[in-house]
Amino acid sequence: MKRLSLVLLMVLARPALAHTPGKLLASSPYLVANPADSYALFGVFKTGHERFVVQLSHVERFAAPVEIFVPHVDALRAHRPAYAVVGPGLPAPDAAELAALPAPLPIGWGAVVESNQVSPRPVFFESIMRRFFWTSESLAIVFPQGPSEIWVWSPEHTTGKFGLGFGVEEGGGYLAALDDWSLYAY
Amino acid sequence: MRTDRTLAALVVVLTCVAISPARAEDAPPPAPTASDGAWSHTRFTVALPAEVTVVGLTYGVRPEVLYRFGDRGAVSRLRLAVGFLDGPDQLFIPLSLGYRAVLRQAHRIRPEVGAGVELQHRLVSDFPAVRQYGVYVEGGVGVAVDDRLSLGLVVAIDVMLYGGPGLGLGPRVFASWQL
Amino acid sequence: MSATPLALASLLTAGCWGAPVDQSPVCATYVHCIDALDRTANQTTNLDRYVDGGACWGNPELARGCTTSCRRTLERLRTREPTLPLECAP
Repeated sequence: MKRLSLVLLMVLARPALAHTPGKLLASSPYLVANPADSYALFGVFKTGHERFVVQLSHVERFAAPVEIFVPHVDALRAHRPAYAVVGPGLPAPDAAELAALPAPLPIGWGAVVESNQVSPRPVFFESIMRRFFWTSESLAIVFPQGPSEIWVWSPEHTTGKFGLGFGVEEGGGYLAALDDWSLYAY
Repeated sequence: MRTDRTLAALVVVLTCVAISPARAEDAPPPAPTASDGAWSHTRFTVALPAEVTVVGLTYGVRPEVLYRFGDRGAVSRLRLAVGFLDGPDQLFIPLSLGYRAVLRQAHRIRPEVGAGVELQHRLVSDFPAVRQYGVYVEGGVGVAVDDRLSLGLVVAIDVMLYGGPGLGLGPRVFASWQL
Repeated sequence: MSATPLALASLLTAGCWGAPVDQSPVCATYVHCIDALDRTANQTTNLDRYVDGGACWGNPELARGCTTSCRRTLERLRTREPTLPLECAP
């Protein structure tokens, strides 16, 4: 009986692990409740001039994969949003990266900048929503202890949907995707 | 957002229609007789369902062939289907093999339930084809128009077990023709 | 209890979400590299996701993403940091 319970637990618990979905708005930062979890945050560039901000605070230096992705549809073929992880204790960006940032870097902050220019553009299939995306490909970023932010912007001012993923599918609450189905699913 | 609402409404309507109990008393059964030629039918039925997949948006057709086990009036059928569904980001080609029970065949309104296995191919231009294997269940209702032709609605749910987890929902409207 | 349901459940579980895989060599290098950098800077980093047995290796799909992240990050480090510890070498 104990073994059966264990197997049932495995079967039932494993699908619960996925990215926690969330909606990014340019008008207000997204505060990550549990930065040790993984998230897939979706937003839409309506003008191409927006900056989306995600705020995190880690209790220790913390390594996790980060990537940005765009739905694999013809209309978004040229849409390559960039992101930067910024915060105290991160490496100083070079001049080109500093110039690319969508806002001045606060004094004492460093940045890891992903310009999303890998070519040919990598693709991945996301089996829960059954969608294909173009991805920047992940970077293994070491988040600093304490506060940090992820900034997302559109360098060429292209418009359209994007997703920002970080962590290793350890979140829960993915049923929240039902709250805004069209954002996540189409 | 409008597409989302339209799809949601479509799913709700089709689901409600599909799961509504068929009322045999709605219409008299088209009782075949030995003299009306009905007994000359083969055991095969072909159907042309039009489908929208709600998870991983695609739309298209999923032609199917059904083979009836037993004489006319027998419930059980073997189902073989292949779909061609296009979407904003992918071409979706599912292959299904399964069992379908067509109930209350002496009545005009005939509930259908089924289950089987499915191999799903998803294609984009710049990535290798994604293949997933799993199972499906389906339920719906057909309405006999005449001795051979039926029209109906089916809702299918699939669960992919290999090649990445996934849960799908596909409402279909169909026309079937008994050969 | 028969072993058949257990085997079936295990097969189903492994099939649904993929069986765990081994840590990739490039991520082993990444872990050693960050450890070495941390020692130099007298700090520690939570590398739980990337170490052998970590969340990265829960199934092949996750492993691919993590391996890519290790490879790209090591490439960046090697390009940008002229004096990396030996542990960061290819």
